[in-house]
Amino acid sequence: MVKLSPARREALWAYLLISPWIVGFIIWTAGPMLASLFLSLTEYNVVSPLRWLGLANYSSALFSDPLFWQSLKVTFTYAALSLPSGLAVGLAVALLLNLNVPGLSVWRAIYYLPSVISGVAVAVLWQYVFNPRFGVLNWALSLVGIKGPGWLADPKWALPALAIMSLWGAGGGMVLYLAALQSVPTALYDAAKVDGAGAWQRLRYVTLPMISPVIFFNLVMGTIGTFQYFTNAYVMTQGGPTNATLFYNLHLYNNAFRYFRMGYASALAWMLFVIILLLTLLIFRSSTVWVYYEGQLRGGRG
Amino acid sequence: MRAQLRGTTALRLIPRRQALAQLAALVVLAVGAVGMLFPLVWMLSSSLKPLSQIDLFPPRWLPTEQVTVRIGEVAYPLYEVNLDGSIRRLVMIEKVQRTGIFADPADLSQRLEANVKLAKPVERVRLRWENYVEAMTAVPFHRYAINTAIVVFGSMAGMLLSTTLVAYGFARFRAPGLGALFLLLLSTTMLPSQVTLIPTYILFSKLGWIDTLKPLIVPSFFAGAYDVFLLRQYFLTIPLELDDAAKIDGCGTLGILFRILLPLAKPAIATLCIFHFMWAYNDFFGPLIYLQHQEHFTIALGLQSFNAFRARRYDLLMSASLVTVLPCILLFFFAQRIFIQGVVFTGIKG
Amino acid sequence: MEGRGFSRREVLRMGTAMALAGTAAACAPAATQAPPPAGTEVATAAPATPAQPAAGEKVVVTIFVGMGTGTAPEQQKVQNALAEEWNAAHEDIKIEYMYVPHEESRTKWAAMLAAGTPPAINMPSGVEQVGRFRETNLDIGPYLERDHYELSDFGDLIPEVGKYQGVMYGIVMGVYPSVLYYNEDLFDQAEQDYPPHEWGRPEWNYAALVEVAKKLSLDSAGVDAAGSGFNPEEQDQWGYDEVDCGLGFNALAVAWGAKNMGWSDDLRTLYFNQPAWVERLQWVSDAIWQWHIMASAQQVQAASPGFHTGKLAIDHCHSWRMGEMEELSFHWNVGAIPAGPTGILVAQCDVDGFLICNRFPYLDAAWEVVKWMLEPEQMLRLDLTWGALPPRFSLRERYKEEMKKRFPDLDLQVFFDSLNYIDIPNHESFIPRYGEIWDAFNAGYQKVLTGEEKNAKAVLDEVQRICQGYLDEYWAQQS
Repeated sequence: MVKLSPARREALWAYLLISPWIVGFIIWTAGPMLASLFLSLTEYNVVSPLRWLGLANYSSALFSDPLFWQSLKVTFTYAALSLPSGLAVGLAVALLLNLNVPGLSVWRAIYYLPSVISGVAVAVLWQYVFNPRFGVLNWALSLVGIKGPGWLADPKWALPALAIMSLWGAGGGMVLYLAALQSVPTALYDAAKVDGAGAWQRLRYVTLPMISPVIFFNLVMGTIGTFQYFTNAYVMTQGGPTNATLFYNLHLYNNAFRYFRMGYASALAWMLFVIILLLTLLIFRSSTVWVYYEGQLRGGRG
Repeated sequence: MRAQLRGTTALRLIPRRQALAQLAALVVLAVGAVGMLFPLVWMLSSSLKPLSQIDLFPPRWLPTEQVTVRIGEVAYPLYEVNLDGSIRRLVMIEKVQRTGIFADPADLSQRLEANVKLAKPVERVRLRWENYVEAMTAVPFHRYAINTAIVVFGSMAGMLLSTTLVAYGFARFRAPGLGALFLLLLSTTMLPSQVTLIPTYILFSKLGWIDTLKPLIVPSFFAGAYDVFLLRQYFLTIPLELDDAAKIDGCGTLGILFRILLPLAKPAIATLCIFHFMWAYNDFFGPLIYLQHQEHFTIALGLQSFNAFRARRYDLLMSASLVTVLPCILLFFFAQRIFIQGVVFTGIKG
Repeated sequence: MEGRGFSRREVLRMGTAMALAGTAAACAPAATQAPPPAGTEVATAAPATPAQPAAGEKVVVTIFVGMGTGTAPEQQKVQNALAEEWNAAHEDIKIEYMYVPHEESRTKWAAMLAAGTPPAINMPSGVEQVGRFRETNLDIGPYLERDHYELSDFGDLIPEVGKYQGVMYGIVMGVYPSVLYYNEDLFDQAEQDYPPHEWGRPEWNYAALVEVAKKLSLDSAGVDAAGSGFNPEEQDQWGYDEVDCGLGFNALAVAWGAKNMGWSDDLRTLYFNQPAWVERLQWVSDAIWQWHIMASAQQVQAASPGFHTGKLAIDHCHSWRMGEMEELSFHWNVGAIPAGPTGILVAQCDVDGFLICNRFPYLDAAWEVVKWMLEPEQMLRLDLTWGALPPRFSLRERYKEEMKKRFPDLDLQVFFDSLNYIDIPNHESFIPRYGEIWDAFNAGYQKVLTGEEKNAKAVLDEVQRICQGYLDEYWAQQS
């Protein structure tokens, strides 16, 4: 048998282990993705034959679709509002739930509930919170003398309302942080205490770095997910009022399955793909600075 | 020490500063918990109401109905009628424009006329437990439950098998092009699925898998991007020294995975299982697209029939939803133990 | 130790991993070449002689339910029972129902069509689909001729709704005429006369409606909108609504004198800012912001004043609203829709029918199934479960009897008389880029509802510009 060099053996093992994903990618994913790329260069409405359009869909989006720019604006604004705060809240809740509070398992289950309940019940909850006249939020504001806005019925406030809603679902991220917090070695905390570090310093110099891989994960997946935000806008506001919550993915969905403009929708999808890819690459670039891996191979990718 | 038991209630005297911090935490948690529990409470309340009372706003938390008095074969509605200052409880026999014809339930022959403005319906609390029975029997729930179990656990097995292997490959090895492949893996989540829906459907159609559970199970055996990324991140937090120690002890490549990494990654694996369960259990779009006959439906898809166009039965939807949400709540509640119990073992110095 | 070799367990695990990958690869077709979508072949018109199944082969006719109503559990029971009856009596053709939730029905139907496996029949489906899917809709004219199909029981007006640009694609199976639902208790409390049940009364026009509605719009102190001291910020009751129902604005504008449904006959020019439309939209704006008889978007968010809540005195809506009317706590009935400023009376009608997909291989079989469903017996059962009125004159009495069981005091004749004033062409008539044009219109309409822009002309000029742009782009791409 040929004796392979250690590097070769390692590479072979790597590809072998990854092979399930590679095979799956080839079978299930690559074909449809390429098909949609092809469709983006056509006019396709399912009932009629394809028509070749070249790049017309792309130029149409950039130059003659006002809703394209509107939806980009909506999506970027929402991301700026909800991503940072979502990360922070998820982490904060996890830290809270990592304390020695009585009834902890009950609290954890309660805070995870939002991720479990979906659909109509959640929509109704938010109508109570955001109701202009009887809602919790405006009532709380009135206590400090502010007249609350129309929220979901107000073009200027519908988007912030949705951003506030996203905080409530922080339970998903919370679970990941909890898992990570559990595995920070207590030896590190002990050593830090011995060095005289206070609670805040322990958080900053021990906890955060040790869970930074999970923060990184939440940031990347959060970015990818936020830019494809769809469900709540679809269910609660349908993009309104007056397109104030017309998210990019909703505009895409409308074009695909309301207007049956599959070609145009595919073009929109690939443009979003590029945007998300660039942002993700940026995050990856930055990660070498702030993400710490205990088990990272030298020269491996962060 | 890798980790120690955390979050267990400790019955011992604690210093005052810690007690105050805990109290503050409790207050914050309690306030937040109200918001978290609210939908459940609303669902419970709605599931016991008749359809006409569900979207009243401001809401009525207790379902009510107007009291009726059965006299002979007819049930007459009961009102409190204001007759020149004195309030009497009368049943309404008939209404002619603005005038109601009322009578004392004890003696129907004595009729009184009064303007309907002066009559207020008498109501009482009534919890409609029959909503649950109706919801559970309106659709073949047992059939749906079996299909759901097959899909959820079948795909979970595939997910675990493939994700552990692939995440290990990305986390612990160096190879040319591996970084690019990882980026490719991630990039598959960046294209909105609406535009690959039809090509994917055509693919499954050509395979002959439409109207079977296969499209919902088989792809999980090929590792999804989210799961792989998550587990890979987790693997990267485990020190390399453990791998090296195992190698010295004679452990092979796969042995490191199964003997070192996976036991330490139990919280992450548990997380993956919980997330996967929630996602697969609640996924109705996949079943909607790929299934055709009702006997193949899953629970999530079956629930949609209560949300029909121009025929919404929110009362039944709420009862059915509450019943189906229970497994998720229970699952998370009990799976927490895996988070709480870390792994204790003799670790490495430094 | 390097080079130790693999333990037996490791070999087993490796082997499993490889075998899995191997079998998967073997199972997969050459999927790197994406199968072309079904539409790349030139769309064939329905073959002159439809395919016939081999002798003894059973044809499965799938009925797709979801584009309209029909997917609720009790509706499924009724429809499944019909299928069972047919299947028991027929050896050669089998009916199978497919139920898809409404919001996703288009998506699923598109996927099935693209994969080349479309359902045979779409039932119930509405007017929009007649035009939108005309390339896949079967022209049933030849079948009607071949079987000398009798349409007189449907009257003269109703069969027209199943046509698009002169071609008959479907026959109406259920109609949802519109009426005014009114809350008797609220009228009693305000001491106002109920709206008339008789259609075409000269004194009953929108101006009279406004006067009545003002008296029925109350704030929390009980002051009505006609009186002084009315506080719209604290409004608790509204006199009128036409927005929640989703009525077609183009049909409403006909009562104000609009001569078309918003576009030219050649479908190239839009008239969204014609005088009748501007006046009609200004009426809506005034109803909300001047007379306070209709709820604004904020008020709807705050109070959800649906008719069944008892906070709305008059609801201008279709007959399917009755599906929400079980066990209400107040007395209600229905009345006639008022006439426009110049006396024009329009009561728009939603319509459900069937469409046969011309890509389905066994069209004769599909037509047989449809004919059976159109027979009075089956049609009545379907209509009762869909919440529709039967278009057949011969079914009217039986329908009334059935409805009396659910709503004993309801004056059903108002619905039938409404059919004399339906909108033809229908408000859902198709136009290229239908979805985007109406979404753009609705975005403009919402500006009036939220108060962002209360001037109807400003709104409609903008909408006209945007929508005409869509239409121009479409026609430019066709050449």
